[in-house]
Amino acid sequence: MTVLKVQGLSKVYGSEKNSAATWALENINFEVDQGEFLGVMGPSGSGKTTLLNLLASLDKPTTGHIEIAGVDLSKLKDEETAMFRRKNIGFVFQDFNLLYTLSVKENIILPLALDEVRPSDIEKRVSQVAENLGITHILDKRVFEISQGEQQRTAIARAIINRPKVVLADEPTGNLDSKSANGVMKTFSSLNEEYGITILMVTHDPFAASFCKRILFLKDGEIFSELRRSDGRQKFFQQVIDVLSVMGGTFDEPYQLNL
Amino acid sequence: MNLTSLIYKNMKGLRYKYVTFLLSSVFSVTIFYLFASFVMHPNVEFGPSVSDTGVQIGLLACEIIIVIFSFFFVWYSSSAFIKSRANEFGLLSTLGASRRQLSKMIFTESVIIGEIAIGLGLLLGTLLLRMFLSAMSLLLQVDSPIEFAIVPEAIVYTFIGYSLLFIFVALINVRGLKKGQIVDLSRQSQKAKKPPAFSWILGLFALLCLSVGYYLAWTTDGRTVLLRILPVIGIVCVGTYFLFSQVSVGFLRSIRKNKGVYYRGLNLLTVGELGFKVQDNARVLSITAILTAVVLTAIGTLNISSQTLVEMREFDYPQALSVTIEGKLEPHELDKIELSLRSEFQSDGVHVQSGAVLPGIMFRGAVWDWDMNVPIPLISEEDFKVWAEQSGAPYVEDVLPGEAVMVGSYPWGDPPHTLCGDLQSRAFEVDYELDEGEISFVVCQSIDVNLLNDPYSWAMVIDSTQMRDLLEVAGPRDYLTLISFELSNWTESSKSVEKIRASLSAQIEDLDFKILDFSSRVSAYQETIQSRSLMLFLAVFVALVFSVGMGSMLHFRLFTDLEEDRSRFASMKRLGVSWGEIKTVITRQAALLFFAPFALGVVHSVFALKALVGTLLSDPIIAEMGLPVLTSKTFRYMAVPIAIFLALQTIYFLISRKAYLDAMRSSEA
Ligand SMILES: Nc1ncnc2c1ncn2[C@@H]1O[C@H](COP(=O)(O)OP(=O)(O)O)[C@@H](O)[C@H]1O
Ligand SMILES: [Mg+2]
Repeated sequence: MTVLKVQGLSKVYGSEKNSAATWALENINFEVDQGEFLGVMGPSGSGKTTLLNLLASLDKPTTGHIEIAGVDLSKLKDEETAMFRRKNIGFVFQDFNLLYTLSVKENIILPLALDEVRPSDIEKRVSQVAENLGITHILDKRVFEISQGEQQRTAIARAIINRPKVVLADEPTGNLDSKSANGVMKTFSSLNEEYGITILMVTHDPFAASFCKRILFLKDGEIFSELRRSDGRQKFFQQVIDVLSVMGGTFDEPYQLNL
Repeated sequence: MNLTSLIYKNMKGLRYKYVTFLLSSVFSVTIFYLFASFVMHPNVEFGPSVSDTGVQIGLLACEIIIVIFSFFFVWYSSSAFIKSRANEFGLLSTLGASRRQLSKMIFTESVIIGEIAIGLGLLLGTLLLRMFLSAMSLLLQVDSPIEFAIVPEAIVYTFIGYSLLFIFVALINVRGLKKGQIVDLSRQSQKAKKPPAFSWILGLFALLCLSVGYYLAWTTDGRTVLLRILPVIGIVCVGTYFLFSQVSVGFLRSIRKNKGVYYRGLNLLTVGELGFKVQDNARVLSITAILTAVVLTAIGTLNISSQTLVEMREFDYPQALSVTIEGKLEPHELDKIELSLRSEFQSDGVHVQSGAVLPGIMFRGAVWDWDMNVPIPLISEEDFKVWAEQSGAPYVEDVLPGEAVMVGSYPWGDPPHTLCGDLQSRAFEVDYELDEGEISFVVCQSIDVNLLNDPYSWAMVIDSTQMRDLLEVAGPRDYLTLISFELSNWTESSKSVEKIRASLSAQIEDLDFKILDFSSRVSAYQETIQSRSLMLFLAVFVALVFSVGMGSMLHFRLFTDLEEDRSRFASMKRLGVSWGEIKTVITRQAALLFFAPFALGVVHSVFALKALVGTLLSDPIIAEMGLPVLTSKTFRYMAVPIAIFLALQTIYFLISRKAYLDAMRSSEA
């Protein structure tokens, strides 16, 4: 069953007629099936974040359609968009995006509280999810008291507690050391394999990408190639490296000045 | 992009913050200058009288409060200004600006903004003073007690005082910058705040403080007030602070425990936000609550005292207009006077409830032994009945020759016993000296009516025939004319009363007669109001200042965390929290910030006023008068100022909320 469908998707920053316009994405087509773990890779500036923002309906495409769980995102009104996103899409961000005013547990249950799920159900689900992710012991801590790996796992717990149709992850290991990154990717992998959760992950890190089952390579806003995992992870990792070297381009994320 | 253009761009982006800081400094300067030019005004002089001492103490208290208030206000807004620019300083230091350079920049900036603020404040203050004085005389319908004038001393004090203040505050800020690392400053937003601690003991202590303070205030009377006033204020201030810091944490904690409420919709987000800021809020909230209480109490006191004043005037002056004329006026002249008075009132739109011009005689003899030594005039039964019918006074039963009915009122209780003894138990005689011989009456009855104003507040009503006989034998200086008018809208009668005073005295002088007494309630009332308008000026002024000051303090509180809030709300947005929901969370927070201290302040002021009323009522004279305003109506009079303040607070709330939401919204795009 198709969970996510992208058709003829383009995104232009600035006016189309303007010579200074940037074609961040150009005529992208792909589908994600139920239970898939799809990776999107590409050098800096290839349009990964743009793609994710469009999927998350944080931004509007210039042309093309996005369908999630059979719903065309462009047909939704503003308020409906927020609700739809909350119900159907789980998010994992590079910067975790946790609210430090709340405890770990409160962060995790936020989507359920917003949907007014019964408190007893909330309790049940949070303890189940926390156990799956191995974060039961930190539930009552504050966000700043736990490690970054734990923060990202908290964010993953929050992303899946609502049983979304698809989990979107933007560079989930980008801010983590290699050990935490390994833990987080194993978590993703097991969530996908054991619970059949559909995941779309954007990354520029070949190690993280090697956990995926399929990878789309983006270059200059277009799909450059596609890779499917058939054998072990080690071999897949090597294949990814090969594609990347063919593609060229830098894989260091630019330093970001946040004013 | 070079450094200069970066700084310039940065400043342009920070325009809003500069303007906010400048405006709050201007505000502070304006208030101080306004107040100083009022206190140092040449028209404002103090005599040795008790009421002047009271005003002087009041002025001093206000001055101290304003100085403290403006110090904290400037300090608060400038540190909020610095703190909100943490990122900018972080960036500058990353770009290689040394700490020395940064300190110099901050110091120069603060002082320049400060000097601009002083200039604008002096200008604005002068304009406002002018407006305020004309508004006051317009509202009070009296000449303003002080004239508009530019007071050089006030300018000098304001200039020197505020220059020092701005330099001092700038130094504090620079010092703070040196101690705390700049990197720290730029990381401030990400720095984790400790969750607020809660202690049962402190929470209970807060409740205990408030209960004890309230109890003491509620039971205060004239004997205990001086002993209690300071401790009660202290206890209540402490209680207020701990109420906001501890009890609110406890309250949020108990909500957190109640999953049914806490896990419902936006409560999770709202409680999280509130709990996070509660310690920061506590200081501002408690200061605002106390200031609200101070202002409402001041206004309430003034309101009560001026209402009391109106009632006291009605009490002191039983008649709206009362004139006593010496000299023999013919009946047609009496009619003419009455007609002219009535038409005078009518033409000015003043309604006459009752009015009479009664002929009387005043032989020497039977006098008050009160300090006035004024003989009691005689009037005829006939004339009295005409007046009584009009004014609804009790009717005098047929008076026999040789008998007299004593009519009138004595404001401060019963008439002196030396004159009339106990009328209930026995009759007594009054004697009058004629040119030849003496005449005496048996006083058989006394009727309480409001006839004339002090000192001629009593008269003897005698048989009409006997009165006619006596009028024949009276000497030229014995004749008396008593004019007595009651008006329904007497507070508006001052113009006609003045015209009547002029025309009547001209008329009487022509006849070579003399006006013994001319008294009107409205002139006494206006005299009091005028002398009180100084106090009123102060109270309204201080109230407005505090109200605006509190509004802006809360506004700053809301905006200090703008940067942090922005990133947090952006996080929420990415999680699919809709803009409408974010608006709800922000509105709830802002509402709490603006209305919680207001509510507590109202409660405080109710208790403070109860203490005041208790004190006043234990004064024997006021208790004797039994002024209803002090007992039943006290809190009804409070309703108006509270409503006005609530309206102002609501306006500030709406403005701040809108500005804050706009700032949030703009960051999204
Ligand atoms: N808000 C924006 N305005 C203009 N151009 C943008 C914007 N965001 C991204 N771009 C441009 O679009 C292209 C794709 O960017 P992005 O999606 O961030 O790439 P990636 O995440 O793969 O590094 C880049 O050339 C970038 O400069
Ligand atoms: Mg990116």
